[in-house]
Amino acid sequence: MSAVEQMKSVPVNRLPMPTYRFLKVNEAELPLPEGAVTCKDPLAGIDLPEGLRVTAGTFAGMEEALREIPTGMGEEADRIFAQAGCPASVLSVQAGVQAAEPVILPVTATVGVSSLAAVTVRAEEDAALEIVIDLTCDAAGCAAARSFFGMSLRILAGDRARVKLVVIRRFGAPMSDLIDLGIRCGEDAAVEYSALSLGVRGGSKAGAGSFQGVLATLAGDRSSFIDHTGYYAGGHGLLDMNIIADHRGRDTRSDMIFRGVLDDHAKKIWRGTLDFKSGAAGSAGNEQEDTLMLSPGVHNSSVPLILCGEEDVDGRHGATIGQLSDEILFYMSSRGYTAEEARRLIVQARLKSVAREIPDAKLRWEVEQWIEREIA
Amino acid sequence: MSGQEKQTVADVDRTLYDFKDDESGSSFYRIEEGLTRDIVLQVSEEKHDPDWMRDFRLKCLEIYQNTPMVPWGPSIEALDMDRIATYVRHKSDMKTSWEDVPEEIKNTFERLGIPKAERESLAGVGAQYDSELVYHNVREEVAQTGVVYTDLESALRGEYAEMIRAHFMHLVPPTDHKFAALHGAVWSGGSFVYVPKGVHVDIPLQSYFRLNAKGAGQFEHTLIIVDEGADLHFIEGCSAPKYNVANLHAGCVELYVKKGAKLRYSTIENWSKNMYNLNTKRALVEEDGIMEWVSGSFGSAVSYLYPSTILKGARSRMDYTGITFSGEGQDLDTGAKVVMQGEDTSCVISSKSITKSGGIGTYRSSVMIGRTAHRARASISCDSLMLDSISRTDTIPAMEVLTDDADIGHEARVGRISDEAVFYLMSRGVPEADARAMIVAGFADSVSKELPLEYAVEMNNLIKLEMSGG
Repeated sequence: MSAVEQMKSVPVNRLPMPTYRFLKVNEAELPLPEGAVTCKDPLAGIDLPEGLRVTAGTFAGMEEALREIPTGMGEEADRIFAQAGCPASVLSVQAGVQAAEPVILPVTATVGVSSLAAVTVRAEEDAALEIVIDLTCDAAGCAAARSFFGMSLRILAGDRARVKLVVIRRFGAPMSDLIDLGIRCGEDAAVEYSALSLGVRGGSKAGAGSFQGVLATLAGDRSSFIDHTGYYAGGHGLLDMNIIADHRGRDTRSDMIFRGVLDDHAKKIWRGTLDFKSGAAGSAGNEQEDTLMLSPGVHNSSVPLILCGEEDVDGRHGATIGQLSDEILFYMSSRGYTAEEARRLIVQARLKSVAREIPDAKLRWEVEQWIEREIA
Repeated sequence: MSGQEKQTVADVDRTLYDFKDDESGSSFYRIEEGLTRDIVLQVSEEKHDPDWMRDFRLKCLEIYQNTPMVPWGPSIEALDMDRIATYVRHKSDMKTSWEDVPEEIKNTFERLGIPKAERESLAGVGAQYDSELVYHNVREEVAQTGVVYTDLESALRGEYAEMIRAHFMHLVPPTDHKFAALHGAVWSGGSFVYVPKGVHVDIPLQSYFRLNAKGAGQFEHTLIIVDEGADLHFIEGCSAPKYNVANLHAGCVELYVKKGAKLRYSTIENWSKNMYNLNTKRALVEEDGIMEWVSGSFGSAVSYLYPSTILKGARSRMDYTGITFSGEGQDLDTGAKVVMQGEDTSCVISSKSITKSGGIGTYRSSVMIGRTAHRARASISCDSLMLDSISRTDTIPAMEVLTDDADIGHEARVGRISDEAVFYLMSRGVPEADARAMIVAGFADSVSKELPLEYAVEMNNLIKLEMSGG
């Protein structure tokens, strides 16, 4: 057990270019776990398909090429893991290896305990890998006591490498957590990220909630990044996100789709940035946000940025924020569904559209069942 | 695009505006540079302020000194308030006939076409030169309907004194930001408009602000009250010659749109490239009221300009249509803000930005829908066109929604002139340079069509696009 420096909170999820202060979106204050934290190593002792290997290491001693990959939450989040002395094992896929099966990493948060875990993935040239991280609580459930969980993820995708990462977050109330991801793509590399945040219900204490950051650096020419995120937040849950596609190479592509549901008194802050650096000629980025608001007590903030230092690009953003349309409810009622049933079906369908990205059939079925049971 | 010659687009043609009048003679009064309590008291004395206004100015100075700069937006480090004269005026009084305006000032406004515009297309004109209005007039038939259009100083001392006191810097309090406080401390000039209940002013009123003095600031205050069921179009124009030292514009516009009233506020801003344009504009709209902003930003070195609207009353509405053109040496941060409080309120924001020659254009906005704004609707679109790769364009919108039955749509796009569109026009026999010019002109068309014809022509002249190569 180690202790994180005794500060109450640190600023994370900084907007790449700040705006009006009264909106309170320029950054988030991440409440730090109190007292000792436990480090977990999700890669310890797992069975790996051929061509994959795990190299043990520590977060503080991470090799430079990996440490220099910026993440969505920023350097302050890194410091939490480094100070706690957590391990940061590296999962490597050798050049040219196409992993036959997805790597499933179940990570279980422990009741009443603050825990941290770090995973780094290195896909060498022409390699391909699918990895699923399934975040749950132990048998007693996170609801038994306030807990904190933090996960740091880095992906280094070599030239022409293909990496698909799915993160399923199904803690339940009243968990506080952070999920911080940094990606760097070489030439023609492609990284696909799907995130499913189910049941963000924590956060009755001011500042608590789920904090998520993603920064994809598209350094290599023709590299690409896809983000498909689905979320449901209810109760007094807080969901704070900062997603950045940093286009640096020529002819790079990003496509980010965010579909979510806010219920009860949940609050969501979403920052989405397409950043076209000078030299990223021929690049295109698209971000779409679709937020369904189910209760008069919800609070939604959306900040979609397009930053552009290159003429020859195409950056687009679209957002729709609102409730279920009368047309949809009418259509569903004409098919015999009550308004409540229609609402439940539509909410679950949004989340299941992301669950479909889970490459393992058994886990996918399990998550779909979880959605039907818990998101009612 | 590699291997192809990039198109070039000329800077905004500013020769029409870039002429200077010598103010070194004895006919001008210029306060010493800097910002101190004594200077503020001196301005107050020059203005013959009532006591409450003098005290208000001093309070604003205190707020200014204790307020930090905002941590976002373009740099204004080169703006040194110790080198800005906050008050400069011609020693002549304000006139109501162009014939009586001092010759050198009259020539300035003649060259800008203001008297001609008044004769042909305006219901009234106010002309401010440096810190004071030099001319103010309203057509007799408009005055007979009860419309008041006068300089703010006269209103402050006349029969509307209480009305001014009840509204002055209530919408934009000096605590709003540092330059609102500065404005409160040294404001001078500007107009007061009151349109009585049910009166429709069919042709626009216009105020034109000219800052001729070198190293000076202009701090005019515009206060407009459009009473219940009334209707007004107000046009604001501004320009200045270019100097090699910083000039500052920190005006303030407060607009009150009463129940069922409508106000259109159009601005063609063409400050010179040594100008720091830190202007604040805000409107409060009551039940069934309509506020329309039409904004063209072409000049200044740095702009912070976000007309904001509070939709307080049920079914009130706001439309914002704006275009910003940033060329060499310009960093223009513009956009709109809206706070929706009433039920069934709606807003439409449409913004266009063109950048070239290393210019920086930023679209910044906020749409806040409060808990009481049931069934509020907002539609926001911002399009940015980059004409070369040494320029920069950023889009920074924010939306905050606190009710579940709001309906918000947002679209943004950043890009260059489409090769397909150019090819299409060329296949119809249009030369490439002309095709590119047509596309850029079309891009700005949604703004120019919102302006009266003569102003649309001026705006199109401002975007004098000279294409070559390709």
